[in-house]
Amino acid sequence: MNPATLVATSLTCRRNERLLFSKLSFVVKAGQALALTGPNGVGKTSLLRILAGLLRSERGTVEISPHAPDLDLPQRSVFVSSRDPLKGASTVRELVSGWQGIVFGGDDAVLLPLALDAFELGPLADIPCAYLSSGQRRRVSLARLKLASVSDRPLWLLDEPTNALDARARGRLANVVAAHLQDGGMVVAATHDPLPWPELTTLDLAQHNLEERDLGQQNPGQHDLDQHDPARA
Amino acid sequence: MSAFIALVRRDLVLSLRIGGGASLALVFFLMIVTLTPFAIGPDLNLLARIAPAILWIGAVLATLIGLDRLFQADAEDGTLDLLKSGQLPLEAVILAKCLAHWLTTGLPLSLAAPLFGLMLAMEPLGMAAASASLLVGTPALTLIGAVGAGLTAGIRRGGLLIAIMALPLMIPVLIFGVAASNAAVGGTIPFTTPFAILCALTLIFAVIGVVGASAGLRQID
Repeated sequence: MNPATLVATSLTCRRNERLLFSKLSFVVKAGQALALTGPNGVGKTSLLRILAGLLRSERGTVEISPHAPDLDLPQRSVFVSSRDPLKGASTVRELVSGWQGIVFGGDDAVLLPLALDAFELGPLADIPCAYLSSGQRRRVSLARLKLASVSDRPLWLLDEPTNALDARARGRLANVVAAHLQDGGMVVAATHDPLPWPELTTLDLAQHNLEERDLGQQNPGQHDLDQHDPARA
Repeated sequence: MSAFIALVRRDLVLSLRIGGGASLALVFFLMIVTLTPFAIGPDLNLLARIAPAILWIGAVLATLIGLDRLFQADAEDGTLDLLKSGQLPLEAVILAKCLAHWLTTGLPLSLAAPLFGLMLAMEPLGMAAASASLLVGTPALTLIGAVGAGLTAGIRRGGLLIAIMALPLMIPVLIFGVAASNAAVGGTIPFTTPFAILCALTLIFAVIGVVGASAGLRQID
Protein backbone atom coordinates (compact mmCIF):
# COMPACT_ATOMS: atom_id res chain seq x y z
CA MET A 1 0.00 0.00 0.00
CA ASN A 2 1.26 3.49 -0.83
CA PRO A 3 1.55 5.71 2.21
CA ALA A 4 -1.33 8.17 2.26
CA THR A 5 -1.05 11.90 2.71
CA LEU A 6 -3.66 14.47 3.67
CA VAL A 7 -3.15 17.88 2.11
CA ALA A 8 -5.44 20.71 3.20
CA THR A 9 -4.95 23.90 1.25
CA SER A 10 -6.22 27.33 2.18
CA LEU A 11 -9.37 26.19 3.98
CA THR A 12 -11.89 28.84 4.94
CA CYS A 13 -14.93 28.22 7.09
CA ARG A 14 -17.83 30.54 7.76
CA ARG A 15 -20.79 29.53 9.90
CA ASN A 16 -23.77 31.84 10.27
CA GLU A 17 -21.91 34.73 8.62
CA ARG A 18 -19.14 34.41 11.22
CA LEU A 19 -15.65 33.69 9.89
CA LEU A 20 -14.20 30.86 11.97
CA PHE A 21 -10.86 30.49 10.21
CA SER A 22 -9.39 31.31 6.85
CA LYS A 23 -6.44 30.27 4.68
CA LEU A 24 -5.70 27.29 6.84
CA SER A 25 -3.21 24.96 5.17
CA PHE A 26 -1.52 21.90 6.58
CA VAL A 27 -0.19 18.49 5.65
CA VAL A 28 -0.54 15.24 7.55
CA LYS A 29 1.67 12.44 6.29
CA ALA A 30 1.28 8.71 6.73
CA GLY A 31 1.93 7.66 10.30
CA GLN A 32 1.34 11.15 11.71
CA ALA A 33 -1.29 12.44 14.10
CA LEU A 34 -2.50 16.01 14.36
CA ALA A 35 -4.22 17.43 17.44
CA LEU A 36 -6.54 20.39 16.86
CA THR A 37 -6.72 22.62 19.90
CA GLY A 38 -8.24 25.94 20.76
CA PRO A 39 -11.08 27.35 22.83
CA ASN A 40 -14.73 26.32 22.36
CA GLY A 41 -16.28 27.61 19.17
CA VAL A 42 -13.02 28.22 17.37
CA GLY A 43 -14.01 25.80 14.60
CA LYS A 44 -12.38 22.48 15.50
CA THR A 45 -15.49 20.42 14.76
CA SER A 46 -16.19 22.40 11.58
CA LEU A 47 -12.66 21.70 10.40
CA LEU A 48 -13.10 17.98 11.08
CA ARG A 49 -16.38 18.02 9.15
CA ILE A 50 -14.66 19.74 6.23
CA LEU A 51 -11.91 17.11 6.26
CA ALA A 52 -14.62 14.42 6.41
CA GLY A 53 -16.27 15.89 3.31
CA LEU A 54 -19.49 16.55 5.22
CA LEU A 55 -19.17 20.33 5.24
CA ARG A 56 -18.02 22.38 2.29
CA SER A 57 -15.12 24.72 2.79
CA GLU A 58 -15.85 28.18 1.47
CA ARG A 59 -12.53 28.06 -0.34
CA GLY A 60 -9.58 25.73 -0.59
CA THR A 61 -9.26 22.01 -1.09
CA VAL A 62 -8.84 18.83 0.89
CA GLU A 63 -6.99 16.03 -0.84
CA ILE A 64 -6.04 12.57 0.26
CA SER A 65 -3.40 11.02 -1.93
CA PRO A 66 -3.02 8.49 -3.42
CA HIS A 67 -6.31 9.15 -5.14
CA ALA A 68 -8.93 6.44 -5.15
CA PRO A 69 -10.82 7.08 -8.38
CA ASP A 70 -14.14 5.60 -7.32
CA LEU A 71 -14.19 6.94 -3.76
CA ASP A 72 -15.27 10.43 -2.68
CA LEU A 73 -13.77 12.30 0.25
CA PRO A 74 -16.37 11.03 2.77
CA GLN A 75 -15.46 7.48 1.82
CA ARG A 76 -11.75 8.03 2.56
CA SER A 77 -12.05 8.67 6.30
CA VAL A 78 -13.68 7.40 9.46
CA PHE A 79 -15.26 10.33 11.27
CA VAL A 80 -16.14 9.82 14.92
CA SER A 81 -18.18 12.88 15.82
CA SER A 82 -18.93 14.00 19.35
CA ARG A 83 -22.45 12.59 18.98
CA ASP A 84 -22.73 8.85 19.48
CA PRO A 85 -24.86 7.33 16.70
CA LEU A 86 -26.37 4.71 18.98
CA LYS A 87 -29.89 3.34 18.73
CA GLY A 88 -31.37 2.66 22.14
CA ALA A 89 -33.37 -0.33 20.95
CA SER A 90 -30.57 -2.28 19.31
CA THR A 91 -27.85 -4.21 21.10
CA VAL A 92 -24.20 -3.27 20.79
CA ARG A 93 -23.52 -6.27 18.57
CA GLU A 94 -26.44 -5.49 16.21
CA LEU A 95 -25.38 -1.86 16.02
CA VAL A 96 -21.71 -2.48 15.25
CA SER A 97 -22.56 -5.27 12.82
CA GLY A 98 -25.05 -2.87 11.17
CA TRP A 99 -22.34 -0.23 10.71
CA GLN A 100 -20.15 -2.85 9.16
CA GLY A 101 -22.84 -4.16 6.81
CA ILE A 102 -24.37 -0.81 5.87
CA VAL A 103 -21.51 1.67 6.02
CA PHE A 104 -18.13 0.01 5.75
CA GLY A 105 -18.68 -3.38 4.13
CA GLY A 106 -16.21 -6.21 4.48
CA ASP A 107 -16.24 -9.53 6.25
CA ASP A 108 -18.54 -9.70 9.26
CA ALA A 109 -16.88 -12.74 10.81
CA VAL A 110 -13.42 -11.16 10.90
CA LEU A 111 -14.09 -7.50 11.57
CA LEU A 112 -16.86 -7.67 14.16
CA PRO A 113 -14.89 -9.54 16.87
CA LEU A 114 -11.92 -7.25 16.15
CA ALA A 115 -14.02 -4.12 16.65
CA LEU A 116 -15.73 -5.41 19.80
CA ASP A 117 -12.41 -6.54 21.23
CA ALA A 118 -10.59 -3.25 20.61
CA PHE A 119 -12.59 -1.41 23.27
CA GLU A 120 -13.50 -4.38 25.45
CA LEU A 121 -17.12 -4.43 24.34
CA GLY A 122 -17.44 -8.21 24.56
CA PRO A 123 -19.31 -8.19 27.91
CA LEU A 124 -21.64 -5.43 26.63
CA ALA A 125 -22.33 -6.99 23.23
CA ASP A 126 -25.85 -8.17 23.99
CA ILE A 127 -27.02 -5.18 26.02
CA PRO A 128 -29.37 -2.67 24.35
CA CYS A 129 -27.60 0.65 23.83
CA ALA A 130 -30.22 2.48 25.91
CA TYR A 131 -28.71 0.99 29.08
CA LEU A 132 -25.11 2.06 28.44
CA SER A 133 -23.29 4.78 30.38
CA SER A 134 -21.83 7.70 28.46
CA GLY A 135 -18.32 6.27 28.63
CA GLN A 136 -19.58 2.94 27.34
CA ARG A 137 -21.48 4.72 24.55
CA ARG A 138 -18.27 6.47 23.58
CA ARG A 139 -16.43 3.16 23.45
CA VAL A 140 -19.12 1.69 21.18
CA SER A 141 -18.83 4.78 18.99
CA LEU A 142 -15.07 4.40 18.71
CA ALA A 143 -15.36 0.69 17.86
CA ARG A 144 -16.18 1.61 14.25
CA LEU A 145 -12.55 2.67 13.77
CA LYS A 146 -11.66 -0.99 13.56
CA LEU A 147 -14.28 -1.75 10.89
CA ALA A 148 -12.52 0.02 8.02
CA SER A 149 -9.28 -1.04 6.36
CA VAL A 150 -6.35 1.37 6.32
CA SER A 151 -6.05 1.36 2.53
CA ASP A 152 -9.65 2.48 1.93
CA ARG A 153 -9.94 4.91 4.81
CA PRO A 154 -6.46 6.03 5.83
CA LEU A 155 -7.72 9.10 7.69
CA TRP A 156 -9.32 8.98 11.13
CA LEU A 157 -11.12 12.11 12.29
CA LEU A 158 -11.87 12.11 16.00
CA ASP A 159 -13.92 14.78 17.74
CA GLU A 160 -13.06 14.87 21.44
CA PRO A 161 -12.35 11.14 21.43
CA THR A 162 -11.34 10.94 25.09
CA ASN A 163 -14.52 12.55 26.46
CA ALA A 164 -16.16 10.39 29.14
CA LEU A 165 -13.55 7.65 28.73
CA ASP A 166 -11.90 6.19 31.82
CA ALA A 167 -8.12 5.75 32.06
CA ARG A 168 -8.28 2.16 30.84
CA ALA A 169 -10.33 3.06 27.76
CA ARG A 170 -8.01 5.98 27.01
CA GLY A 171 -5.14 3.52 27.04
CA ARG A 172 -7.06 1.27 24.65
CA LEU A 173 -7.68 4.23 22.35
CA ALA A 174 -3.99 5.15 22.41
CA ASN A 175 -3.12 1.57 21.42
CA VAL A 176 -5.64 1.55 18.59
CA VAL A 177 -4.38 4.89 17.31
CA ALA A 178 -0.74 3.79 17.57
CA ALA A 179 -1.51 0.63 15.58
CA HIS A 180 -3.28 2.71 12.92
CA LEU A 181 -0.33 5.09 12.63
CA GLN A 182 2.02 2.11 12.46
CA ASP A 183 0.02 0.81 9.48
CA GLY A 184 0.54 4.10 7.66
CA GLY A 185 -2.74 5.72 8.65
CA MET A 186 -3.34 9.32 9.63
CA VAL A 187 -5.25 10.76 12.59
CA VAL A 188 -6.67 14.23 13.14
CA ALA A 189 -8.26 14.76 16.54
CA ALA A 190 -9.97 17.77 18.10
CA THR A 191 -9.22 17.76 21.77
CA HIS A 192 -8.88 19.68 25.02
CA ASP A 193 -6.90 16.92 26.75
CA PRO A 194 -3.23 16.16 26.25
CA LEU A 195 -3.10 13.02 24.12
CA PRO A 196 -0.36 10.45 24.84
CA TRP A 197 -0.10 9.46 21.19
CA PRO A 198 3.04 8.89 19.12
CA GLU A 199 3.95 11.21 16.23
CA LEU A 200 1.57 13.88 17.47
CA THR A 201 1.82 17.50 16.38
CA THR A 202 -0.52 20.24 17.49
CA LEU A 203 -2.40 22.82 15.47
CA ASP A 204 -3.85 25.60 17.61
CA LEU A 205 -6.68 27.22 15.65
CA ALA A 206 -6.78 30.30 17.87
CA GLN A 207 -3.05 30.76 17.28
CA HIS A 208 -3.59 30.37 13.54
CA ASN A 209 -6.29 33.02 13.57
CA LEU A 210 -3.98 35.44 15.40
CA GLU A 211 -1.15 34.84 12.95
CA GLU A 212 -3.54 35.15 10.05
CA ARG A 213 -4.77 38.50 11.34
CA ASP A 214 -1.24 39.83 11.84
CA LEU A 215 -0.22 38.66 8.40
CA GLY A 216 -3.27 40.28 6.89
CA GLN A 217 -2.34 43.59 8.54
CA GLN A 218 1.30 43.44 7.49
CA ASN A 219 0.93 42.36 3.86
CA PRO A 220 -2.65 42.80 2.74
CA GLY A 221 -1.76 41.60 -0.76
CA GLN A 222 0.11 38.41 0.11
CA HIS A 223 -2.48 36.14 1.66
CA ASP A 224 -1.86 33.20 -0.60
CA LEU A 225 1.70 32.75 0.59
CA ASP A 226 0.61 31.76 4.06
CA GLN A 227 1.57 28.19 4.86
CA HIS A 228 0.89 26.67 8.20
CA ASP A 229 2.52 23.29 8.21
CA PRO A 230 2.53 21.56 11.60
CA ALA A 231 4.33 18.60 10.09
CA ARG A 232 7.29 20.89 9.49
CA ALA A 233 6.93 22.94 12.66
CA MET B 1 -26.88 -4.57 -2.59
CA SER B 2 -26.19 -6.34 0.69
CA ALA B 3 -25.67 -2.94 2.34
CA PHE B 4 -29.08 -1.83 1.04
CA ILE B 5 -30.74 -4.91 2.47
CA ALA B 6 -28.86 -4.50 5.75
CA LEU B 7 -30.17 -0.93 6.07
CA VAL B 8 -33.76 -1.98 5.32
CA ARG B 9 -33.48 -4.76 7.87
CA ARG B 10 -32.04 -2.42 10.50
CA ASP B 11 -34.87 0.08 10.03
CA LEU B 12 -37.49 -2.68 10.15
CA VAL B 13 -36.04 -4.12 13.35
CA LEU B 14 -35.87 -0.69 14.98
CA SER B 15 -39.42 0.31 14.05
CA LEU B 16 -40.88 -3.01 15.14
CA ARG B 17 -38.92 -3.06 18.38
CA ILE B 18 -39.77 0.42 19.58
CA GLY B 19 -43.41 -0.50 18.95
CA GLY B 20 -44.22 2.50 16.74
CA GLY B 21 -44.26 1.75 13.02
CA ALA B 22 -46.46 -1.02 11.81
CA SER B 23 -48.98 -1.47 14.61
CA LEU B 24 -49.49 2.23 15.31
CA ALA B 25 -50.29 3.23 11.72
CA LEU B 26 -52.62 0.28 11.36
CA VAL B 27 -54.52 1.14 14.54
CA PHE B 28 -54.78 4.77 13.42
CA PHE B 29 -56.16 3.59 10.05
CA LEU B 30 -58.69 1.42 11.88
CA MET B 31 -59.76 4.41 14.02
CA ILE B 32 -60.49 6.59 11.00
CA VAL B 33 -62.42 3.84 9.24
CA THR B 34 -64.40 3.07 12.39
CA LEU B 35 -65.27 6.69 13.11
CA THR B 36 -66.86 7.27 9.71
CA PRO B 37 -69.92 4.98 10.07
CA PHE B 38 -70.58 6.54 13.47
CA ALA B 39 -70.49 9.99 11.93
CA ILE B 40 -72.56 9.18 8.86
CA GLY B 41 -75.08 6.80 10.33
CA PRO B 42 -76.28 3.39 9.21
CA ASP B 43 -76.88 4.25 5.56
CA LEU B 44 -75.19 1.24 3.93
CA ASN B 45 -75.55 2.49 0.35
CA LEU B 46 -73.93 5.81 1.18
CA LEU B 47 -71.16 4.08 3.13
CA ALA B 48 -70.42 1.68 0.29
CA ARG B 49 -70.28 4.59 -2.16
CA ILE B 50 -67.78 6.64 -0.15
CA ALA B 51 -65.84 3.65 1.23
CA PRO B 52 -62.89 3.91 -1.21
CA ALA B 53 -62.53 7.61 -0.35
CA ILE B 54 -62.50 6.85 3.37
CA LEU B 55 -59.95 4.08 2.96
CA TRP B 56 -57.72 6.34 0.91
CA ILE B 57 -57.97 9.34 3.24
CA GLY B 58 -57.22 6.99 6.12
CA ALA B 59 -54.18 5.70 4.26
CA VAL B 60 -52.92 9.20 3.50
CA LEU B 61 -53.20 10.26 7.14
CA ALA B 62 -51.74 7.01 8.48
CA THR B 63 -48.74 7.37 6.17
CA LEU B 64 -47.86 10.66 7.85
CA ILE B 65 -47.25 8.75 11.07
CA GLY B 66 -43.56 8.07 11.46
CA LEU B 67 -42.60 10.31 8.55
CA ASP B 68 -41.32 13.05 10.86
CA ARG B 69 -38.80 10.62 12.35
CA LEU B 70 -37.87 9.03 9.00
CA PHE B 71 -34.60 10.98 8.76
CA GLN B 72 -34.74 13.15 11.87
CA ALA B 73 -33.79 10.38 14.29
CA ASP B 74 -30.68 9.62 12.24
CA ALA B 75 -29.84 13.29 11.76
CA GLU B 76 -30.01 13.96 15.50
CA ASP B 77 -27.78 11.17 16.74
CA GLY B 78 -25.15 11.46 14.00
CA THR B 79 -26.13 8.27 12.17
CA LEU B 80 -26.81 10.38 9.08
CA ASP B 81 -23.16 11.49 8.98
CA LEU B 82 -22.16 7.88 9.17
CA LEU B 83 -24.56 6.92 6.36
CA LYS B 84 -23.35 9.83 4.21
CA SER B 85 -19.78 8.59 4.50
CA GLY B 86 -20.74 4.97 3.86
CA GLN B 87 -20.52 2.82 0.78
CA LEU B 88 -24.16 3.47 -0.22
CA PRO B 89 -24.99 6.63 -2.16
CA LEU B 90 -27.36 8.92 -0.23
CA GLU B 91 -30.12 8.20 -2.77
CA ALA B 92 -29.90 4.48 -2.01
CA VAL B 93 -30.00 5.22 1.72
CA ILE B 94 -33.21 7.21 1.22
CA LEU B 95 -34.77 4.52 -0.95
CA ALA B 96 -33.95 1.89 1.67
CA LYS B 97 -35.45 3.96 4.47
CA CYS B 98 -38.59 4.66 2.40
CA LEU B 99 -38.91 0.95 1.64
CA ALA B 100 -38.69 0.13 5.34
CA HIS B 101 -41.27 2.82 6.13
CA TRP B 102 -43.63 1.47 3.47
CA LEU B 103 -43.20 -2.10 4.69
CA THR B 104 -44.32 -1.03 8.16
CA THR B 105 -47.17 1.34 7.11
CA GLY B 106 -48.33 1.12 3.49
CA LEU B 107 -48.09 -2.63 3.12
CA PRO B 108 -50.02 -3.60 6.29
CA LEU B 109 -52.59 -0.93 5.43
CA SER B 110 -53.15 -2.35 1.97
CA LEU B 111 -53.41 -5.87 3.28
CA ALA B 112 -55.87 -4.85 6.00
CA ALA B 113 -57.99 -2.77 3.62
CA PRO B 114 -60.40 -5.61 2.63
CA LEU B 115 -61.06 -6.26 6.30
CA PHE B 116 -61.82 -2.61 6.95
CA GLY B 117 -63.86 -2.44 3.73
CA LEU B 118 -66.18 -4.96 5.35
CA MET B 119 -67.04 -2.36 7.99
CA LEU B 120 -67.91 0.08 5.22
CA ALA B 121 -70.26 -2.33 3.40
CA MET B 122 -68.01 -2.66 0.34
CA GLU B 123 -68.59 -5.32 -2.31
CA PRO B 124 -65.89 -8.02 -2.58
CA LEU B 125 -64.77 -6.70 -5.98
CA GLY B 126 -64.54 -3.19 -4.59
CA MET B 127 -62.46 -4.44 -1.65
CA ALA B 128 -60.04 -6.18 -3.99
CA ALA B 129 -59.75 -3.06 -6.14
CA ALA B 130 -59.22 -0.79 -3.13
CA SER B 131 -56.59 -3.15 -1.76
CA ALA B 132 -54.79 -3.31 -5.12
CA SER B 133 -54.88 0.45 -5.59
CA LEU B 134 -53.54 1.00 -2.06
CA LEU B 135 -50.81 -1.54 -2.71
CA VAL B 136 -49.45 0.36 -5.72
CA GLY B 137 -50.38 3.84 -4.46
CA THR B 138 -49.08 3.90 -0.90
CA PRO B 139 -45.39 3.76 -1.96
CA ALA B 140 -46.00 7.10 -3.70
CA LEU B 141 -47.38 8.52 -0.45
CA THR B 142 -44.27 7.47 1.46
CA LEU B 143 -41.96 8.87 -1.23
CA ILE B 144 -43.78 12.22 -1.33
CA GLY B 145 -43.55 12.38 2.43
CA ALA B 146 -39.83 11.61 2.23
CA VAL B 147 -39.22 14.95 0.49
CA GLY B 148 -40.87 16.75 3.40
CA ALA B 149 -39.02 14.56 5.88
CA GLY B 150 -35.71 15.32 4.18
CA LEU B 151 -36.34 19.05 4.21
CA THR B 152 -37.39 19.13 7.87
CA ALA B 153 -34.87 16.60 9.25
CA GLY B 154 -32.85 19.40 10.81
CA ILE B 155 -35.85 21.04 12.48
CA ARG B 156 -36.98 19.98 15.93
CA ARG B 157 -40.74 19.99 15.44
CA GLY B 158 -41.09 19.34 11.74
CA GLY B 159 -44.03 16.92 11.91
CA LEU B 160 -46.77 19.39 11.05
CA LEU B 161 -44.59 21.04 8.41
CA ILE B 162 -44.26 17.70 6.65
CA ALA B 163 -48.03 17.30 6.60
CA ILE B 164 -48.50 20.79 5.16
CA MET B 165 -45.86 20.24 2.50
CA ALA B 166 -46.73 16.68 1.56
CA LEU B 167 -50.54 16.60 1.63
CA PRO B 168 -51.09 18.87 -1.42
CA LEU B 169 -48.67 16.72 -3.42
CA MET B 170 -50.60 13.62 -2.42
CA ILE B 171 -53.80 14.86 -4.11
CA PRO B 172 -53.12 13.27 -7.54
CA VAL B 173 -52.41 9.94 -5.88
CA LEU B 174 -55.61 10.26 -3.86
CA ILE B 175 -57.68 11.11 -6.95
CA PHE B 176 -56.47 8.21 -9.06
CA GLY B 177 -56.45 5.79 -6.14
CA VAL B 178 -60.11 6.45 -5.37
CA ALA B 179 -60.94 6.51 -9.09
CA ALA B 180 -59.39 3.07 -9.57
CA SER B 181 -61.30 1.66 -6.60
CA ASN B 182 -64.58 3.12 -7.90
CA ALA B 183 -64.01 2.06 -11.48
CA ALA B 184 -63.86 -1.60 -10.47
CA VAL B 185 -67.46 -1.62 -9.22
CA GLY B 186 -69.11 0.47 -11.94
CA GLY B 187 -68.80 3.67 -13.88
CA THR B 188 -67.81 4.43 -17.40
CA ILE B 189 -64.03 4.06 -17.31
CA PRO B 190 -62.26 0.70 -17.10
CA PHE B 191 -60.33 -0.12 -13.91
CA THR B 192 -56.98 -0.29 -15.70
CA THR B 193 -56.94 3.38 -16.78
CA PRO B 194 -56.72 5.07 -13.35
CA PHE B 195 -54.80 2.07 -12.03
CA ALA B 196 -52.09 2.49 -14.67
CA ILE B 197 -51.86 6.20 -13.92
CA LEU B 198 -51.52 5.36 -10.23
CA CYS B 199 -48.64 3.00 -11.03
CA ALA B 200 -47.05 5.74 -13.12
CA LEU B 201 -47.40 8.24 -10.26
CA THR B 202 -45.60 5.85 -7.92
CA LEU B 203 -42.75 5.45 -10.40
CA ILE B 204 -42.52 9.22 -10.94
CA PHE B 205 -42.42 9.92 -7.22
CA ALA B 206 -39.82 7.18 -6.75
CA VAL B 207 -37.51 9.51 -8.65
CA ILE B 208 -38.75 12.89 -7.39
CA GLY B 209 -39.00 11.70 -3.80
CA VAL B 210 -35.50 10.28 -3.66
CA VAL B 211 -33.87 13.22 -5.44
CA GLY B 212 -35.85 15.76 -3.39
CA ALA B 213 -35.10 14.10 -0.08
CA SER B 214 -31.40 13.78 -0.87
CA ALA B 215 -31.25 17.47 -1.80
CA GLY B 216 -32.81 18.28 1.57
CA LEU B 217 -30.51 15.98 3.53
CA ARG B 218 -27.39 17.33 1.84
CA GLN B 219 -28.22 20.78 3.24
CA ILE B 220 -27.84 19.49 6.78
CA ASP B 221 -24.29 19.97 7.90
